[in-house]
Order: sequence, then structure tokens, then C-alpha cells
Amino acid sequence: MSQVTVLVPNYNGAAYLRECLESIRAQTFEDWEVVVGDNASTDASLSIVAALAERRIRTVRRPRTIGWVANVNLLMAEASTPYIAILHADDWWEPAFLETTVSMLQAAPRSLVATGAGRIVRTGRAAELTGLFQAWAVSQGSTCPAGEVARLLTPRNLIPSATVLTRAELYRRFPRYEPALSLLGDWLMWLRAGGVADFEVTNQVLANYRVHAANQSAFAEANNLWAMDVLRVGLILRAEWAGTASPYPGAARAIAASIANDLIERAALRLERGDQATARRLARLAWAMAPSAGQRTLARIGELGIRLFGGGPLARLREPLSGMARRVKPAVQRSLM
Amino acid sequence: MSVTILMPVYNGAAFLARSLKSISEQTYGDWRVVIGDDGSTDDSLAVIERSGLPRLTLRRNARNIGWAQTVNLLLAEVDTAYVAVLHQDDWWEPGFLATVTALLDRTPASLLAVTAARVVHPSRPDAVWGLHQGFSVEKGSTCPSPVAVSLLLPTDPIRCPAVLARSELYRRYSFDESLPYACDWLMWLRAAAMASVEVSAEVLANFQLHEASQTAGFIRANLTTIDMLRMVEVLRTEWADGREPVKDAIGKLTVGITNEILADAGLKIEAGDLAGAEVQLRFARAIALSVRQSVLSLAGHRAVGLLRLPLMASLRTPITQLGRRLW
Repeated sequence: MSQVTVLVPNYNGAAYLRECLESIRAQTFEDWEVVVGDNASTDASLSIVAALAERRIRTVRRPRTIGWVANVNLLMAEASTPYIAILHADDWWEPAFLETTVSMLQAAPRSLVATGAGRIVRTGRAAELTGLFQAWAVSQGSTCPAGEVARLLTPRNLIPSATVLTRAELYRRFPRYEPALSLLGDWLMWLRAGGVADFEVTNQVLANYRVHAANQSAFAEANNLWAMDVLRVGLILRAEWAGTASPYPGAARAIAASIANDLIERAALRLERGDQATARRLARLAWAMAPSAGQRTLARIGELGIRLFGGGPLARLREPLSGMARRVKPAVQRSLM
Repeated sequence: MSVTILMPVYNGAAFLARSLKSISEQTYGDWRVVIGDDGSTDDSLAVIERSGLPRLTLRRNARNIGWAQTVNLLLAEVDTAYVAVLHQDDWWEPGFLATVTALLDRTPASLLAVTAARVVHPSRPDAVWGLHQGFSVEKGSTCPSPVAVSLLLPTDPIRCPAVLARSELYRRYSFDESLPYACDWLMWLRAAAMASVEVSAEVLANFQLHEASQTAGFIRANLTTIDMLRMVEVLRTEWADGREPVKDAIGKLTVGITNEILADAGLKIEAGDLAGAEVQLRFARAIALSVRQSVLSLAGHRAVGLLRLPLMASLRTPITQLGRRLW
């Protein structure tokens, strides 16, 4: 049996799938197997896999396209190795990914997750880095302790799925990605896991995560589905983290505050694009989620601002005002969290 | 073969005998069944085997992935003109398939045929739900598309076991896997927006409600709210730029959802779950479009604040009853 199973969910990813699979074959650590979960693709995906003629890569096929979360949850049953990674068909690894993350987990038996830096690749824009290292200085040591992980990830998801190697044990404790979360299932997974397990962190760039206009994240942003997933994460964790299961003091409140902040930010973005109606709806939902009187007031002021400056003669003041709001926001947020 | 019956199963040993028997007792015989076991850990498979149901195919998920996801996989198996989805805990009267297939045979333009459903609650009296409550079937069974949409906007009167669909519908749409509690409502709305609906007032399906599903009360019910909010967002896009099937459809749907949330808040107050009720009332206030609803959610919110005082606890039930009567 090999050490690592790489699960590759794919739906019509023919344009990127070869690069993804080649990046696995180029790993300096060679004791892996790949299971491609083809979600009833209608493009050349299957022939691309076949053309590689790689005995360590096999394919399972869904008879009809289902959500990517369900595809991943079914793929999990294919892994019987001590370590599992999930690499989406449009993402790819640096050659050292597996060698680095496997040795980190081997050195830290209590950690369930190892994660590095991920390069976010957008067409027409300079690549940015993201990773847990941005919140956890690796100079303190590579092990970010349970509880602290959840706290650091509460404001936003810093961990792209492509940067993660997990112990199979993780998915025995949290057997599935939340079926209803089409966009933020991984954030919820890391938040839950980070409440009870240590994470190994490196700032080495190990993975590349592609964001392109055609992908589901862009569609979801346009349709507010992202905001709906954010709300769902907030409600699930607020309930799970209430009382004794709190991963760090005040966690239930902090996640609600984070969700409210996120919605306020989305409202501001909508307003800047001139979509006043959506901005108002999001500001109201932020108000409903906000755990403190201060944050509720902020949401109310935001909504009032949208009504006053969203359209009509005062619309000219919109940009200077939202710019000002953005400058004071970090300070205000700190005081409210 | 004319009808494929899809049945998602997850730990349904206690109910399956009843639902499978109701299939075998159909007066209409031209059907096959595809069961999708979603990783059951109880005796479900043994019960299915013992049933001896003919023309049965069993598919098994290697992991538990959710009921909508399971049905979507099963949809790949459909090779008939009609599809029914029967959940493990629901069951049919013997005349169900005969009635609904006849309705769709007669009216090729309709995508759905819907009967009345008996809603069975363990501790409350049975209720009957159906489109016939808003559409009189005396002059004919075909409910025009705009009428059907209008009936589906304020609430979801259609219970899943009471539906037979033309398989075309499911070639076009899967159940929305992000909406575990509302994806059937969304499906019926989409179907009604596309075509007329055949309606029968006969009670031919039974829908089982559970106390157990309320156990995780706080979590579940507030997530139902998220499902409904998300459904509105999905339809807002689909129905944008003049594609609304009836005038102000999104507005009416929002009003309907606000009512659902307020009703749930009332139930929570009665059950003593004031924190849960408060969350609901906040969401209701956040999305309320009518003055009446805003006032009610604000009043409810204030009332919950008062009811938190220990002295007031005994007033909970009379106050929510008063609220419901005024409403």
C-alpha cells in the first residue's frame, strides 16, 4: 500500500487536468496513488487520463453530474492510505509538496493537517500568496496548536485545499465535507478540525490555486451564493461552538462577528458596483448575524448610508465616503470583535 | 416501462416495510424501483431484501452524501417517461400511480401531476396539503403555469410523495444539493414556471413528519431559513431581466418566506427555545418587505426579550397564541 492517496475531483477540467496530474507525477516523494473522481464530464478529461498510461492513477466515474462536495465525499471512500490530499483538477503542486508535508506530519504525530503557502493564480493579475503562515508565524515553530488554528481561521479561510495534506484520521473524525456548502466546505472542515487538532504550518510555496472567470467561484459571487454559504457556516458553528465545545474563548461570538463583517464587506463591494438593492439586502443580513450592539449599529449605519448615497443626487459622495469607511474599518472592527 | 420510482434510503429500517408495501400494492403495475442506499448502518438492506419487491435495482453510496445528492445520482438510472421520488418514510395509497399517470398521459404539456397528501405528525392531528386547496379541480385538472407558480410562492403546498414528474424535468434540472430542506420546493417552482401542473384533490400520498428530526432543533430550523434565503437568491438570478413567471414573483416569495420564518419563531417560543426564536425573528426583520411583517417581527423580538425574564415564562404559550390569532 502506498502512503498517500491524492483525490482529484474533476468536472470538464480537460484544459488543466494534464498539468494537475503531471504535477503529481513530478513529486520528489513517489509513494502515492491517485483517484480521479470524474463527475460525468462531457469533455476530453477521460482520454487525457488514459493517455498518461500511469498505473498509479485510476478513475472512478459518476453516472450523472452531482455537486463537487458530494463527488469529494464519495471519493473519500477510495482512500485507504495513512495520508490523503485533495487536488482539484485546475490546481497543481510544486514538486516538493508531498515530500515536505509528509515529513512534517511524520515528525508531529499529534497533528492531523499539514499546510503550506499557496499561490493564487488569476489571469491578468499578479499572483498572490495565501496560507496559514500569514496568521501563524512559523518562527514560533511549525506546530499551530488546536484551538489557535480555529481562532486564526475565524476571520477568513486562509487555507486553500491544494496546500493541504491530512492524516486519514481527520476524515474518520469529520467524515464528510458539509453537503450543503458548495463553496465553503473546506473552510468549515479546517475550522472544525482546527478546534480539536494541531496543524503543521510552513511558509514554503507548495501549491498553485487557479481562479478563473469561468469557475464556480466567479458565478457564485455574482449570484450572492457566496454570502449564503458564509451565513450557513456562521449558523452551523455558532450552534456547534456554543457552550463547552468552544475551541477558544468566545468562539461562537467571534464567528458570528466574522460573518457579519464579511457580509458588510460584500455589501460595500456591491455598492461600489452600483448594485444598491443587493447591498441593502446584504447589510440587513449582516445586522441579523451581528452578535454585538456595536456591530449591529455599524450594519444599520451602513444600510442607511446605502439608502442615502446609493443613488440620486448624493451618489457622488459614495466613493469618497466608502473610501473613508474602509480606512477607519480595521480600527472599528478591532474594537468590536 | 412507464414509471421509475426513486427511493433514497438512509437508516430507514423502521419505515421501509410500509413504503415498499405501498409500492407493491399499486393498482398500476408498469413501474420499476431504484433504491439508493446512502450508507445506512442499520437493517435497511435486510428489510429491502425481505420485501421481495419485483423490478428493483439497488445502488449503494460508499459514503453518506445526503438525500438530494443520492436522488441526483439515481436520476442517471431513469429510462422511463415518468419519475416519482418516494422517501423511505412516506407511503402511497393504492390508486396513486394510476391517477397521476392518467393525468400526465392526458395532458402532454404538463410536467407535474400532484395529488393531495396527508401530513402525519406523531403528536398533532393529521393535516391535508395540496395544490387543490388553492386551485379548484371541478372545471378540470390542468392548473395553468402562472396559477401554479402563484400557489407555490407563499409556501410549499406540494409534498414530495404526492408528485409524478415527466423525466424531461430532471434532464433539465437536478435537485439543488445546497438546499437540503428546500430543494424540492425549488424544483416544483421551476417546473411550474415552465409548464402547467395536473392537480388531483384525492388524498393518495402520505407524508411522515418526525419529532426526532426536531431534536437538533436550534441548528436545523435556522438552517432551514438559510435554505429559503438561498433559494430566493437562486431564483432572483433565474428570473432576472423580465423572466419572472408572474408579476413580482420574488417579492411574493420573500413575503412567503418571512411568514415561514415567523411561524417557526412562534413554534420555538412555545418550545422554550428563546435563543433560536430570536435568531429567526432577526432574520424575519432583515428580509421583511411588508410593514405588517416588520412590525410583527419587531414585536416578537421585544416579546422574546420580555419572556426571557423568569417571571414571564408562564405567559409564553398564551402570548404566542395571541400573536397567531392577531396574525
